[in-house]
Amino acid sequence: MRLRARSGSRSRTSRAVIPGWSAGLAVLAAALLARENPAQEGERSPSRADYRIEARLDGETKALDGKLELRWTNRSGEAVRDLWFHLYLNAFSNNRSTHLVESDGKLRNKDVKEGWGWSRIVAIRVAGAENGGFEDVLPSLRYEHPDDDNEDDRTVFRVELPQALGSGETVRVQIEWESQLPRARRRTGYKDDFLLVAQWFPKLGVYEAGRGWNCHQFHMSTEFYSDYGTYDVTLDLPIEYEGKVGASGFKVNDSTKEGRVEVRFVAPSPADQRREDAFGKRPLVHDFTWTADPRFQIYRQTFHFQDWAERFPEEVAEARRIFGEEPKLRDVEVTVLLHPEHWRQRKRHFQATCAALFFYGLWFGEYPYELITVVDPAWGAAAGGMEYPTLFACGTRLFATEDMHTPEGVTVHECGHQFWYGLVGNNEFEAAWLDEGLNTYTDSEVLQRVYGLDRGTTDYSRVPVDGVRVADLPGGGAIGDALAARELRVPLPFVGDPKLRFLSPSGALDYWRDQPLFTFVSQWTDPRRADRIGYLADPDTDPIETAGWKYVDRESYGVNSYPRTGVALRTLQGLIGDAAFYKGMRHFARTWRYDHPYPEDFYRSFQEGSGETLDWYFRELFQGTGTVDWSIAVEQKKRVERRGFFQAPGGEFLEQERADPEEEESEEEKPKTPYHVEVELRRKGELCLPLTVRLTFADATTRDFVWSREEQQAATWKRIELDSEEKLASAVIDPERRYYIDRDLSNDRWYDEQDKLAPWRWAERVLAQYQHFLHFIQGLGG
Amino acid sequence: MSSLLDDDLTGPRPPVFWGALRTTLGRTPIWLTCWLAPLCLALVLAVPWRGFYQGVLANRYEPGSVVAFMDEGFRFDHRAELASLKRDTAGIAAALALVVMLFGVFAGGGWLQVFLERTQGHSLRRFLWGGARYFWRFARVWGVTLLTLALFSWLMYGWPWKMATKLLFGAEDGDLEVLVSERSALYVNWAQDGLYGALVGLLLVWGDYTRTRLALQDTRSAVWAGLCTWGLIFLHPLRTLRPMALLFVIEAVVVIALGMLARNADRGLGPESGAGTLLVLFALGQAALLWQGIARGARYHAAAQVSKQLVPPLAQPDPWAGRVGGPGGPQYPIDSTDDYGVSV
Repeated sequence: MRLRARSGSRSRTSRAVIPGWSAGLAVLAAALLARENPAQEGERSPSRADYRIEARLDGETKALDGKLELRWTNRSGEAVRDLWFHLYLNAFSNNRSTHLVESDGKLRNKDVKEGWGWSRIVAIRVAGAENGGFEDVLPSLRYEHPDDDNEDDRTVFRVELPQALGSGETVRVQIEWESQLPRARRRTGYKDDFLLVAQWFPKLGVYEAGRGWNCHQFHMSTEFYSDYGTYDVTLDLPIEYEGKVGASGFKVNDSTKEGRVEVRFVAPSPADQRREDAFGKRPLVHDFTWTADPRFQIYRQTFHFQDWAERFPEEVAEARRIFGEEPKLRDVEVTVLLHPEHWRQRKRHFQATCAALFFYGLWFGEYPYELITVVDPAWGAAAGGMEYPTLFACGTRLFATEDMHTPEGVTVHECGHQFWYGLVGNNEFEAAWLDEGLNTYTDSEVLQRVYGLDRGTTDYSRVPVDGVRVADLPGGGAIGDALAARELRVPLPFVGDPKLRFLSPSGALDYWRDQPLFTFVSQWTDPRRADRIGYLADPDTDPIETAGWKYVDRESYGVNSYPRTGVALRTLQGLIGDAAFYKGMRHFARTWRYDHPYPEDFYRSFQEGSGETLDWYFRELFQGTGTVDWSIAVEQKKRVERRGFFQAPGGEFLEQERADPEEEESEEEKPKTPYHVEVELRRKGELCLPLTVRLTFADATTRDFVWSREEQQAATWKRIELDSEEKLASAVIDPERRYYIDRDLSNDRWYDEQDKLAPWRWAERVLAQYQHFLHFIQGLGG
Repeated sequence: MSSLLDDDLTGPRPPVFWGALRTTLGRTPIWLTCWLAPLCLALVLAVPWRGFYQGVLANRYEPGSVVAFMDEGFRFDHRAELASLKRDTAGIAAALALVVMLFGVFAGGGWLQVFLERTQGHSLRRFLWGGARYFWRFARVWGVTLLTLALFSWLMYGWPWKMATKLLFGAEDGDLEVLVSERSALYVNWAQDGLYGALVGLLLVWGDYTRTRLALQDTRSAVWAGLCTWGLIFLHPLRTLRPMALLFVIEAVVVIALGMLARNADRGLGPESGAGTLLVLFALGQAALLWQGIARGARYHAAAQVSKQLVPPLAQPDPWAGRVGGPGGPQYPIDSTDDYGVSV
C-alpha cells in the first residue's frame, strides 16, 4: 500500500516550548542524578529516563498488568509542558491502527483475525519535586496522531504537566496500565508458552530542542526511539517460567512464591552502572525487553578478546595502526536461549555473537556491558531478527550449515545492533538507515572475514541441497503450466479452486525430477556483493535520507535503510581509504554514544574523525538518488606491415615489396611498439567518483590510469590511447573492487582472451537439467 | 546375447526384477532410442544458452573465472537477458514436455509389443510398430493418469489435507506455524511429501500394469483396464509391487552413485579445468539417463511377466467355429455349394 504523499518537512510533533526566560524561572531544586552533568538552559545533552517497573503476567490469558515509576530528567535546554508516550502494543489492537492499515491488515502476509493486543492506561500521576506529591493527570490524557489523522490509532498519547518542567529538572511519573499481549506476529507477544515481550510498557518519547516531542506513531516500516537511562524491572510470572527468563540487563533476584516466580533485572547491571566504559562514559540503555519459555535450553560461555585476537592478529594489528592505541575488549558473558531442536547450534550462536563483539568492538569501541543474551525464538513466533539493548533475537532453522550463514548472518547483524542503535541511539523512525545501514555495512565485513562466501542452496521438504538451478522449470503462463503437466486452469465449482494441479511441488518428488547431483551448480556469494544486489533492487527511487514511513513503499524502505547505505559506506571506504574511514566511523561512535544523532550529526562527525571533506559525497549519495554505471571498451590493433607505394628520398614513388613476402621483418624494420590500444571509458548516471583503470599486458606489467572526478564531471567519457610493445591482456575498472555502487559490473572489464570452456560448461548444465526433466515427465505418458 | 533375449518360461526362473533387467539390457536399440529422444529435445533448449553465455562472457570475464561456479552477482548483472532467456526456454520446454509425454505413450506400446511377442531380432522395428499400434489406447491411460494425479494433488495439498491438519493440529489453512516446534512441522511436511511421492509412484506402477493389461488382452477401454488394475494391485500387492519397488531401488542406487561421482567432478572444476572434466560430467549424466531408460523398460518387462501370471485371458470367440478343420487343415466356410468330403 502506498503511503499518502507527505511534504519534505518532519511530521508534526508537539511544540509546547516555553520561552527561555520563563523556563529559567521554572527551574526547581529537584534532586538530580549525580552521575551526568545536568544541562542548563540553552545547553543540550541527552535527557535521561530511568524506569522502575513491576509487571504481572496471567499465564492463561497472557494479560500483562503493570505499574512503573519513571524519572525523567529534561536536558533538552528547553522547558517542557507535557509528556508524550508510546503505547506500541495498540498497533495490534485492531485493523484500523496505522500499523495495520499500512500493512493492508496483514502481518506476515496473513490477515489478522485474532490474537490482538492492546494497552490501556489505568492511572497516571506526576510529581515534580523529589519529595513532592503526585498529581493525577489522567484527565488530561489525549491520544495524538502526529503522522497522520488516523483517529483509530492509539499508539501515542500525551498528558499535561501541572507546571512546566525546566531544563535540568526531573519529573517523576507513576503509571498503572493493563495490557493484553498479542499473538507474536511482529516481534512482540506470545506463541503458546513462548514470550518475547518488547515495547510492552508505556514508553516516553524523546524531547528534542527546537523540535519538541519526537514521538511517532507505530508505522509498519518503522522501529523505535527513546531516551537513555536505567531499568529496574520485576516480573511476576507463572512458575513454569522459573529459570527460563532472559532480559535486557542483569538478573539480581529470583524467587518463587505461591506457584509463581518473581524475577528482577537491572539494566545496565549494577556493576556496569558503576564503571566507565572505554570512552569514559557510564553505560546506559534505552529499552528493556524480556523473554521466557519453559522449553528454553540455556548455554553460557564467555567472550574473551584474546581468543579472537589470536585468531585474527592482522585485524588487531591494523586496528592498532589506524587508531594508535592497543586494542583490548572486556570479557562478556554470552547467554544463549535455544529451543530444543536447535540445541546443536548453540556453539554457532555463541561464535557468531563473539565475532560481532570482536570486530564491532575493534572498530567502533568496546561493548560496555558485562553480558548479552541471544534468543532463539519459538517456531512460528515471528519474533526473530530483532535487537534490544543487551538482548537480541536471531533465528535459525534445522539443517543449516555454517557456510549458509544461517544463523550466523542474522546473529552477527542483530548483535551488531548493540552498537548501531544500542550504543548510538539514532531515531529509528526518521533515520532508520543510521543504524540499519551502518550495521548492514559492518555485518557484511564481519561475515566475509569470519565465514567467507555464502553458499546458495535449494530446499526440498525443508532440507537444503547444495546448489541452484541454472534455468527455470518448464512452464510459465496458463498454457505453459498446462503443457508441462503442472496445472490446468479450469472452473471447478465443486472444488472451489479453478485449477487442476497435476504435479504439486513436493520435496521427494521434486528432488527425483531435478536430480540436483547432475544438474545444479554451486553458487557462492560474497556478503558485500549481496549488499550491492540488495541496493540495485531499487537504486534510485528515494534518497537514503528519508523518514521511515515516507519511502514510497516498504521495498524502498528496505533497500535504502539497509543495503544501499551499506554500499554507500563501502564505496566511501574505497574512496578515502580504510584508515580514514574507520577513524571517521569510530569518532562518530565515540561522540554519539548514549546520544541521539541525526544524519547531519553523522556527516559532521565522520568528517571530523576522518579528516576528509565529504559534504559533496553525503549530499550526492545519501541525500540524492543518483547512480552510476561505468563501462570500458577496448580496441587493440597490431601495426600492419607496410604496403603500397612510398615516396623515396629522390621523389619517386616506389612500391613497398619484398623479395619474399613471408620474410620476417628485420629487427630494425619491426616497430618498437607494434600494438596500438584505445581504451574508452564511459559513465552513465549522475555520480562521479575518481576511478582507477588498470591495464595489464601480456608480460604481466601493468599501468594504472585515473579518471578523476573532475574529468567525469566535465565529460561522460574518456579515451586512453597508447602504443605498446606488448599486447594488452586486460583492462579493468576499479581493479581492487573498492566501489560497490556500479549498477553493472559486467561491463567493467575487458580481456583479450575469451573463455572457451565456460559457455559449454553452463550449456551442459542446462542440457542436463532439461534432459532429466523430460525423462521424468515422459514417465507420465509411459 | 541369446540368453538375454531368451525368456523361455520352462526352466528355473530368476526373480522377476532380475529377469526384467537382463532382458531389457539386451534390447539395446530400444533403450538407446528412448535415451536419444529426450536428449535431442533437450539439445534444442540448451543450444541457445551456449550462445547466450558465449555472447555474455565474450571478452568481459577473465578466462576461467566463471567456470567453477556462478556467483549471484553475475546472475544479477545479466538478470534482464537471463530472465528473457529463462522465460523463453521454459515456454518451449513446456511444449517439449508435452511432446515427450506423447513419446512416453508411444514408447510404452513399443516396449510391450517387444516383450509380449518375445521378439527375436528386429526389435526396434517391432518397437515402432507396437508404439503405433497401442498409441491411442495408451494416450487414454495417460489422460486418466493426469486426472488421478490431480486427485492425489488435491488430496495431499488441497482441502482434504488442510482439513486433516486443522482437525489434528488446529492449523488453519494448513499453516503449520501453530505446531510447537520446527521439528514437528518438518515431520508433518515429510509425511505429506512422502505420502504424495508414494501415491505418485503407485500411480506410475498402476499405469504400467494398465498398459500391460490392455496390450495383453488387446482391449480398448482404458478406464475399465485401470479399474481392473487397481483391483489386481490390491489383491496381489506383493507380487505386483515388489518387482517394481526393487527395480526402482536398483535404479535409484545406480543413479545416486553416478550422481555422487558427477558432483565430485563438478566440484573439481576450476579456472584451470579443461574440456576433459566437462566431458566426464556429461558422460556421467548420460550414463544415469541411459540406466533410467533401461529401468523403465525393465518395468514393462516385469509388468508383463507378472500380468501373464495374474491376469486371466479374456474369453475369446472360437475363431474356428465357422470353419472346417483346425489350423493347418482346410479352412473354409461350409455352404450348399460345398461338395467336398473328408475321408480319414
